[in-house]
Amino acid sequence: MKFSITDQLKFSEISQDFNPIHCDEILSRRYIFGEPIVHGTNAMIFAIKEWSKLSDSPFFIDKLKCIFRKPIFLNKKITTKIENINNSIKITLIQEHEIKVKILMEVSATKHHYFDMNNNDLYTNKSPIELSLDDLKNYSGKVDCSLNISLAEKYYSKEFVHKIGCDKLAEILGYSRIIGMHAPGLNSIFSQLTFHKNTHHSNLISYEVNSIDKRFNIINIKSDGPNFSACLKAFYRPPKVKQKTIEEIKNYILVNEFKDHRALIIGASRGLGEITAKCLGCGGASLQLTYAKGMQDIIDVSNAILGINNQNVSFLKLDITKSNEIDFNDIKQFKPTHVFYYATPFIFSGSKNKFSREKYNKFRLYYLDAFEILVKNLSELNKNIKILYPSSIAIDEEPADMLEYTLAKKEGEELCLKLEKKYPNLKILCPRLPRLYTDQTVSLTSVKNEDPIQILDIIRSMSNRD
Amino acid sequence: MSSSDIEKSLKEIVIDVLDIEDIDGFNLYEDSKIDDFPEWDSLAHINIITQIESIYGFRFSLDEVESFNSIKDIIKSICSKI
Repeated sequence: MKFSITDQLKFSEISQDFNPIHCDEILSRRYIFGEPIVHGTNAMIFAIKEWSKLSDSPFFIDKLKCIFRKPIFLNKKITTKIENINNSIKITLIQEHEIKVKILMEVSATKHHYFDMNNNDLYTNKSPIELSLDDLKNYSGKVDCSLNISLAEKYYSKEFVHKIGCDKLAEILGYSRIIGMHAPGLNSIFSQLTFHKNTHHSNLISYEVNSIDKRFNIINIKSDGPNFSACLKAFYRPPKVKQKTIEEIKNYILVNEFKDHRALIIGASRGLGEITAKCLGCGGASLQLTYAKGMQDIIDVSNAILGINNQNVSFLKLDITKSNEIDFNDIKQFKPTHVFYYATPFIFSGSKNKFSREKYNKFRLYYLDAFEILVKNLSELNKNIKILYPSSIAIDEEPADMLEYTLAKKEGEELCLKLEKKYPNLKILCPRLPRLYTDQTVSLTSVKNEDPIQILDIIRSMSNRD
Repeated sequence: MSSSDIEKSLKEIVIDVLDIEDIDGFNLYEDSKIDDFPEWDSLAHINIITQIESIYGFRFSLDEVESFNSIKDIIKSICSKI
C-alpha cells in the first residue's frame, strides 16, 4: 500500500478535508514535516479495509481507538499488520520500519441500511478555518454527515463501502473534516481518535473543544454524530514562519551598506535566504535570487525589495539538485561578488539512533554534489568571490535524530576547505550556525530558536574578509 | 506507593506508548536514560507524560517535562506529587 498526491486529492474530495498539509505540495513544504502527509483518517480507513478483506460480511465498529503516531509520507510503501487480541482487532501501519498508525477496534456483525445521503454539493468552502489557540477555547460547531457515495465507492471499492456502511463511513470522514477544516482547522495535526457506538437521531456531527493543553498545544474535542460518540485529539501545528518585514529589517542596515555587493542567493524564497536577501536589498546590493518551488514566495521577497526602491533585484527558478539541467550562464552573466548557499532538503527528517542511507544521500546531494558543481562554475568566472556555506552547531551537539544531516554537513565543511585550496579566487566561509527560527526549525514541542537576523553579522563579516 | 511500583507502572506505559513487542526482553530501570530508547522521540515523550498524568491524576509543569532525562527523573517527580 502506498499513497500518492492523486490519492490525497481524491480523499480530500470524499472527506472534504482540503487541509494544505495533505494536498498542497508547495504550501506543505513550509509546514512542520516539509512535505505533504497522508490524511491520518484515510490511512486508518485503508487499514480497516485491509482487515475487512478477511471476511465477506458487513460489520459495525462498536469501539475504536486510533493513534496517529507519526506522519505517513507519500509514495513510500506501508505494510499492515493485523492481530486478534482477545475480543479486539489490532491493526498497525508501518512505514520505513516505524510504526505510524496503531488501531484497536471491536466490531460486530450487522446489516447496513442505505441512506439517501448522496449530496454532491453540500460543501463549497475548500479553505480551512485559521484559528488561534485562544479562539479555540470552548469552540463548537456542526458538520454535515453526507457522503458522495459514488466517489467513495470508486475510491475504496463498492464492496468495502457496503461492508462498513456508507453512513458510518461518512461519519468517520467527518472527523477528518472537523480537525482539518474546522477545529483546529488550518493549523492542525490529527493525533488520536477514539469512538464508540452511540446512536443520535441527527444527520449532523456536533463537536466541541473540551480542553486545551497549552504545554503541548494539544486540543481535545468531543463529538456526537448519528452512530458514534467520539473524542478527537489534535496538535495545534505551528503556522508557517513569517520572517521580519523589510521595514523591520531596514532598522538594522546602514544606507548603501552593501551597494558594492552583487549577491547571488541560492534558496532565497524563505528562511535565512529571505532574511539575507532583505538585509542585502536594504543595503543597496544588486541581487540575483533563486527558488526551487516557492514561486509566490520569491515574488513576495522580490517585491518587498523593489518596494524600498532597490530596482537591482531579479530571480530565477533553479533546482540545484538537478545540476545537469542547469544553464549556469544566467549566474555567470550576473557576475556575483558574493554567493549565499541556502539550498537544503527538510532537515528534521531523521529517526532517533537510526541511520538512513537514503536520507544521508539526499543531504549529500544538496550539501556536497550540487554545491561542488556550483562552485566549479563560479570558479570559471576567474574573479574573487566570497561564498557563505552555512554549517550548523548540530555537528558539535550530534542530536540522535540528526545523524544523516550532521554527517553530511561535516563532510560539507571538509569539502569547503578542499574547494578553497583548489580555487584560490574563492573564499568560502562555513560558520556553524545555531538553531535559528525558520520553517525548518519549528516544532510541535517547545524548542529554543534564535532570531535569524543574526545572519547579518555573518554577512557583514564576509564584507570585511580579505 | 513505592518507587518500584511506580517504575513498574511506568514500564507498562512505556511499553504501550512505544509499542514494544518483546515485552519480556524489554528492560527499563531507574538508571535508564530516555536516550537509551530509540522509539522515545519528542511525540512519544508527550504521549508518555500525558498518560502518566491521566493515570496518577496530576499535571507536570512544562519545565519538569523538559528536564526529564532519565527514568529516575520521572519517578522522582511522580513521588513528589502523590
